[in-house]
Amino acid sequence: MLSGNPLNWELQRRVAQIPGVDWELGPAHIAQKIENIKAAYLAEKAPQAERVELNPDTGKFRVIPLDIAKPDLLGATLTQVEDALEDVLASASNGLHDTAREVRALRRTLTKHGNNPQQIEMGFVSVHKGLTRQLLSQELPQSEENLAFQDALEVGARAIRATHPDVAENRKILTVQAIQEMPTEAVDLLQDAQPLLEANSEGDLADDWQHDIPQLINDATLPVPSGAPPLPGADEATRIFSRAAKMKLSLDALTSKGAEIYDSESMKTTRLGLTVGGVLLALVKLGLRLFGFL
Amino acid sequence: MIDTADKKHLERWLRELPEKARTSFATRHALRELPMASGILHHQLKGMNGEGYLLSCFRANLISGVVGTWPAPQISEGIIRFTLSARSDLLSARSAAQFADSARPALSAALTALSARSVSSAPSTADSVLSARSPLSTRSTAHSTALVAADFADSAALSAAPNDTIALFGLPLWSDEIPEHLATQERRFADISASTP
Repeated sequence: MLSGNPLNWELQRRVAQIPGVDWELGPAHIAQKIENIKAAYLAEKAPQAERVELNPDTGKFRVIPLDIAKPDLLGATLTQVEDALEDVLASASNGLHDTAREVRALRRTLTKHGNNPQQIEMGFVSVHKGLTRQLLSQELPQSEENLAFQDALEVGARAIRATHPDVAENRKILTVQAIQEMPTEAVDLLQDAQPLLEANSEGDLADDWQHDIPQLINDATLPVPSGAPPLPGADEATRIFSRAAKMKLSLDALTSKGAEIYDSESMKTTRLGLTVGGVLLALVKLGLRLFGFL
Repeated sequence: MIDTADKKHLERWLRELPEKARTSFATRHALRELPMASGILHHQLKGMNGEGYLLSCFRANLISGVVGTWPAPQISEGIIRFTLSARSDLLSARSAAQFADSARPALSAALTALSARSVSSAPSTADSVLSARSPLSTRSTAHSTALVAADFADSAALSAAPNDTIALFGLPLWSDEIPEHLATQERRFADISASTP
């Protein structure tokens, strides 16, 4: 406020609407309610059409993808994009190779997120964006294969949005979302948080932490060819902070007894000494900052 | 003249005011607590258990700020309730915070002095403490008199011209005993937001 940057008014409005009975329970209770509001707000602003929940059998978090509306159509879309990619890679004159970022990102989408419409759409849009930029800057030739690949990605993303309204709605939100530069101290937090997040997650979620956190740090810290300031990648940032916010909300929903293990001394990050709850809280704050809400 | 220490009287009067005037009154009422809150935050009022007071102060300022900036209907409609409730919370919190330090002679002296005052016909302890404002300071009596006078001035101005809230903001907000860091912040905010009343 005093530096000319008032706190996000929507967040303030939500805090102002905390019922009177809660205020009577004191500062610690209100602090908890505010953290909850922040996490819910971040989950809305970094939307992902998937659920994050605790597996009661293992005590670990997992991702439950959105139900696939038309499996046949999605299968056909994936095949079409995969074929277009293979056509591009078949000829070196197209300029793309196996180690190119776009190719790696798409392969990961196809192999790891093939059952998750939200992640497929994000993957297609991200690769489409990178490909278009390189075609416009003539880093890649406008060959028939490259243009067909670009078209397949666009058609694929549109098809998913047409059959999954939640994904379409999220795209509208993400399109206007600007991501800020990452503060230096955030790298320490993310590096420190990664092993703890992996240890408390299972399946694709654990695997994604392992991939997304280093990728986010790389994108946010390594110099870019254009000389512009490096920025966190939108896909990784959205996945990481959306999931952290949802995990925080899941933990808050647990009874204090059930949540004890996530705040125990035996489960802390090595350098910053944060518990699972502490890590998630710090990530929610960082997410709100990166997305420009704090 | 409005007796702002009389909750029923205050509520009746608030209900008759236009919404903008109500919000302005609530905002100024909440802002007047900032010097004391600031004193607690900066450990200038040592020995006070100010947690509850600070929370009430935060809520009062948050609600009036949000309503003034973003008139969400559900909050806007409840401004009277929030104003009264925040005021009531502040009274209780102040009372609790100050009684926690009741051994201090300055507090005893201030409360003794207050018992002779006739702020209302039957002042409660909490209302007495409201009038005391900052009893931990020997300068509190003059300070509190100035704040009560400021409340009265606000209510008088709004009673005379309920729609003239710009004129209301021309009246002094705080007494002349504002902590320097708060004054600095106020100046900085005024520089940044010159058009803000």
